[in-house]
Amino acid sequence: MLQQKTMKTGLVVALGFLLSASVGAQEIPPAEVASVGPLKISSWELREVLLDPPHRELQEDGTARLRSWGYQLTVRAETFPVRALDPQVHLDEHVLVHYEWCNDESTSCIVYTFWDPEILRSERRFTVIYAGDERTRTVLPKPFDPERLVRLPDDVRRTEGIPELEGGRLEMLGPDRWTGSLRLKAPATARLAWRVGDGWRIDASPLARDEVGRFEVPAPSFDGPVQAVALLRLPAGAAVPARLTGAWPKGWEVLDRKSVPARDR
Amino acid sequence: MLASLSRSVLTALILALLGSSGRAAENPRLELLDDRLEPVSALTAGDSLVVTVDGLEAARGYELTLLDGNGTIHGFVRAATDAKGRLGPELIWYHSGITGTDPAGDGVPGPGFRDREEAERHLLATSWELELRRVATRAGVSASGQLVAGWDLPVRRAESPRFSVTDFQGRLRSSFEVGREAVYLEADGIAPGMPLEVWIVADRSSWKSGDLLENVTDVRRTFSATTGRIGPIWSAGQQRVGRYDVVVRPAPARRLENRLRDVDIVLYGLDAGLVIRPALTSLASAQRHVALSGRVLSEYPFFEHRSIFLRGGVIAAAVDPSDLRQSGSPDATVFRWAAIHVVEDKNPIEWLADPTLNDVTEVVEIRPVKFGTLEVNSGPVWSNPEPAPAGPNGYDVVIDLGARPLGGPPQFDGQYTAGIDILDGAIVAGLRVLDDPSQPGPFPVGRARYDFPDAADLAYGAFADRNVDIRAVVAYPGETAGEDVPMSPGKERFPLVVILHGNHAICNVGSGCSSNCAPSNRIPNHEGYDYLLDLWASHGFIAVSADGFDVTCKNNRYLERGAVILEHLKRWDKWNQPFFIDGTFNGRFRARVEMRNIALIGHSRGGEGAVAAQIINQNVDLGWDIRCVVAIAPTDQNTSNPPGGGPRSFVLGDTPFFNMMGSSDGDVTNMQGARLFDRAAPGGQKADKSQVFIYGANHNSWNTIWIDPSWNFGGDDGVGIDRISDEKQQLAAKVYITAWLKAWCMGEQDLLAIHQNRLHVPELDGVRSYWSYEATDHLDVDDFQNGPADPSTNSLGGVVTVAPPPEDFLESSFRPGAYDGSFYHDTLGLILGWRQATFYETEVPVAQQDVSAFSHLALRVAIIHDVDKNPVLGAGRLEVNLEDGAGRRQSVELGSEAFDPIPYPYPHPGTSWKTMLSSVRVPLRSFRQDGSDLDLTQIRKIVIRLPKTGLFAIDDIQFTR
Repeated sequence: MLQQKTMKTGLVVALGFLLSASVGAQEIPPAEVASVGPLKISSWELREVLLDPPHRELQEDGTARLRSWGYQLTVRAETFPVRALDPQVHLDEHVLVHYEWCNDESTSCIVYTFWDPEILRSERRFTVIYAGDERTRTVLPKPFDPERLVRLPDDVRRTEGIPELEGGRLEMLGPDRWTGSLRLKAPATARLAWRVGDGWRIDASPLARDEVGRFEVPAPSFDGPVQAVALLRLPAGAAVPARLTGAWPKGWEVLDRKSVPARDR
Repeated sequence: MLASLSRSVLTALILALLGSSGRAAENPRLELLDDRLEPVSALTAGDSLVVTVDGLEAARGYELTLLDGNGTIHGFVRAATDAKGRLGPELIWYHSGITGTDPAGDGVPGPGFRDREEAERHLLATSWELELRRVATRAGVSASGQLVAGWDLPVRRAESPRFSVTDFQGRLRSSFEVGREAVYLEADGIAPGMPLEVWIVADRSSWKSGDLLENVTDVRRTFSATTGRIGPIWSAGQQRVGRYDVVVRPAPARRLENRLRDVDIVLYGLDAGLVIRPALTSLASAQRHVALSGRVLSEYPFFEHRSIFLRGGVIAAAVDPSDLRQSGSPDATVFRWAAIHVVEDKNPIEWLADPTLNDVTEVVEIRPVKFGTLEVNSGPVWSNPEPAPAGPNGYDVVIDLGARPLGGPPQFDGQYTAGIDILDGAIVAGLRVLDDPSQPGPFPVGRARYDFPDAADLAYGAFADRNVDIRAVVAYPGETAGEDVPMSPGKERFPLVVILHGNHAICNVGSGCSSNCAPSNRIPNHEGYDYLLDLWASHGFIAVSADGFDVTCKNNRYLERGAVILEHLKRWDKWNQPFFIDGTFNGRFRARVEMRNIALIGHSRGGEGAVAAQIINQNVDLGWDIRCVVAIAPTDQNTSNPPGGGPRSFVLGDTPFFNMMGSSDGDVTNMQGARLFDRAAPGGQKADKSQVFIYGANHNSWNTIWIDPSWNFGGDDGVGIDRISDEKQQLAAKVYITAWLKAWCMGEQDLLAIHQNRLHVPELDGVRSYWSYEATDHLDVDDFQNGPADPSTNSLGGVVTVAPPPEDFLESSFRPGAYDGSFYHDTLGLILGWRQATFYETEVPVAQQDVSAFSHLALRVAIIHDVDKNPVLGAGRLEVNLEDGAGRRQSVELGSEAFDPIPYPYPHPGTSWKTMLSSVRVPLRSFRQDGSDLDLTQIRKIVIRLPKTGLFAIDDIQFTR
């Protein structure tokens, strides 16, 4: 069993943005959710945790890697049936497999521990499914929201080398101005895309932002009203067409997307 | 059906009035069949006479005699009825007695009618009668028993046009010495100038519209016909030895059409139309030792020779002319009287010492047989084999060849005469009769249990579980039946089998997963296999079902499950040791356990645990002698490094492995066991492996506790169509697993015939079990594993060609999610989709062309759901053809009743379609039998003929045993 030592402080800081420089640990209540599917999921919460003793992860080559911190996703449901197959959490194509019961006496709460920050992107769809059994597929109607990450205090995070999450958020300041925040690791780039008619118009240049990741851009003028705006993460070297219809190219990710109300178009 | 004569009515009445000393009442009903086994109302002059009689006493001997108005016997047969009281079909009279004047072209006149006209005149000029008599004695060959019934036999003229095979002189002939003279065709009653096309094809007894016609002469022959001689149809220089049928097609199309049409005429039906025999040599003194026993098939090749049978299953015999040719063939064109005996097995010395034939069956069958065609000399010889006990040494089958005095019944000497009579079983027994392995064995069942709470700290696995309970229930061969009775007396040791259950609630209160659950509330998951434990104990196993309480209701823990099994083995090793002070059983099992003969079994996660136990055992060299492993609906989810190294996804090496899964599994819906099977026995670590995929079987019903409502944690199991009952599912487990255990732990490898889909327990009729079986000894022609993917070359380096180019032709992964998402394997294979008749040819390089040491051609096949390419949602068929170095070819049809079925995917509500490869194992004898002359020492290519449209998955094309 993984042992967790969650750092709790009384300091609660209202965050303006997930990706603004965070200053301390926080308490965020578990997200009450409405789920679509048979598992009747009632809530989830996501935390950065310290692991004491460190988790010893054996590699395929037989060497061991010690993990002193991790992310823990706790999911609560009416019950998780005890089966040969495991309940798995899918965040788009990423799958969390390793789980533990929250305690010995209950089958209504499971916790997944993982280490890969790449999984935690906004807009990803959150699904619970017993491996391969579509009858159990239970989907949360809202995309995953890393804003609900319960972070460790900054000094602990610095000591442990816990990375900031990549991601971004968009806000409309008015019909013709958009702002937001963005945190990216090189060599990825970000661009804004504007939904006009049946296609997306993609900014010709990468999105510029200040030292804390904030940006503010005017809406370009197009030959029709803008219906929606998307903040995109593009892999390095991606070819960027001026206009795109159909699916996003492989490797592109939508970090955030906002619709433009009809009155503002 | 014919109306009985008044005499037969009277006979039946008298019999009914007299009563028959407790026998079931007989109500005989005769049916006449033509020589294509279609019902007819009268015998057509020139046709063979075939009959069935229903309404008779079961498993009893009867005689049928054909007499003319003068009381002369023309036809005779003696045989036993089957379990339903049915006699036949029995062939009583060949070709209405027409033999021609010189049927073999050797100057020996035929004993029968000269031609059809003569036969017709004689048949229509007299009356004919069939008599049915009850055989008075079981083994006697000349006694006439009590009359049961008699029938008039109506006769009618043959319809026009009629065709005959003749020699240059126009003499009716069906046998020619190869290369000596041309074969001619004559016609009677034909419209002048009618265009005809003539095909000479490999002999078979039954044809239906659409059957493939392969012209062995390689020349298309068309004629403009007149009555009388039509022309030569096979010149002397082009003839090949073999048995053939002649097909005449009136008004052929300009374009070649190689399928049998409704209007085509096949000469002689059941019998061979034409025999091309080797130059006559003096083989008469050779020993005639050939395979005889087997089962009759309703489709080509019409007979499967085999030597293993289940108690109560019908045993038939047939002489394959391909075999007999090598050991001195009697003349193939003239019928001989044969008395067919099944006797206790004798070795050659015993046969010399005592050649007497002491038949053990219901009756000594007597039939007129011709050895030119396999089908016309085949028939049941033991309708209801009930040896008690099943003969350990088996039985031999002997055909005693006799003579018939003019107009009288046939006569036999009742002895095996080497060089004349035909023997199956000269060196090893010709056949063996096995007991259904699901029936209890000879030992009374003792029961015991042990319980050591918090007794073990698990030595293997990532979770380092401590204070693990070691608890089990045990069934063992007892002196008597009962709890804690002494072991069966004697010094015999018994093999040990340990089974482990899977993941499930462990507590009947609260969440179901409390490891602090009070003993009284615990769910006894391990007691759900009592029905298996008792059976195995009765067969001589010490059978242990372990409680995995402390590794259940927790995630992962596959190595830990293996570690639990190994903890049990340690304890059994101690109880077996001579000087161990045994406070648990007080020495009951001391020196009575075969600790070098162990089988491991697991269900669900326990199945993966059983595999893990053997992986650990081998990796860290624990020294347990695990003879086989069985996984029931197992998982394949381990993500921890096994101790001693090796992949996390277990690869079971040189241990025989059996995986059993149900298509309606509502838990392991992604059939993870298929991956364990595919990875098992890799190159260099060969072992036999078997897999059965049972349509309609679920996950939980293998364990009676898991389906017991009182334990209330059944879950959402058992989904999809065509569900089978819990009882059938558990019976399948009893049959299949017990056969595997006895094969590998008790040396009863004959039982592997169940896993090779050659033996069927009647109680499982209707249960669709799709098998995959791979024997250690095989030659991979193409396993499709070689990278990079290249469908144009097989694993032997031979060229693969497909023509015309198919729509889908790719080597693909069959792993979950690959291709159309319907696969659950861990292998690569071939996807083949086509929309017109297509040939897939894979060449065998010269160095590997001698496949005569193998017994089967095997491949794994599955249909892929596709409403366009596979519009019929049912079993599929493919034709497979072997071609030898001389260009000789022979085809069989995969998916027919003669071979294993090719499964259509199962529609599972949780995962959509399930495409599961299934083995089709074709005996190489099927390509050789009935005189095909195919040379198995130089097989040049395997050709798969693909019909109009289809989408199939193919893997593991191999020659095997």
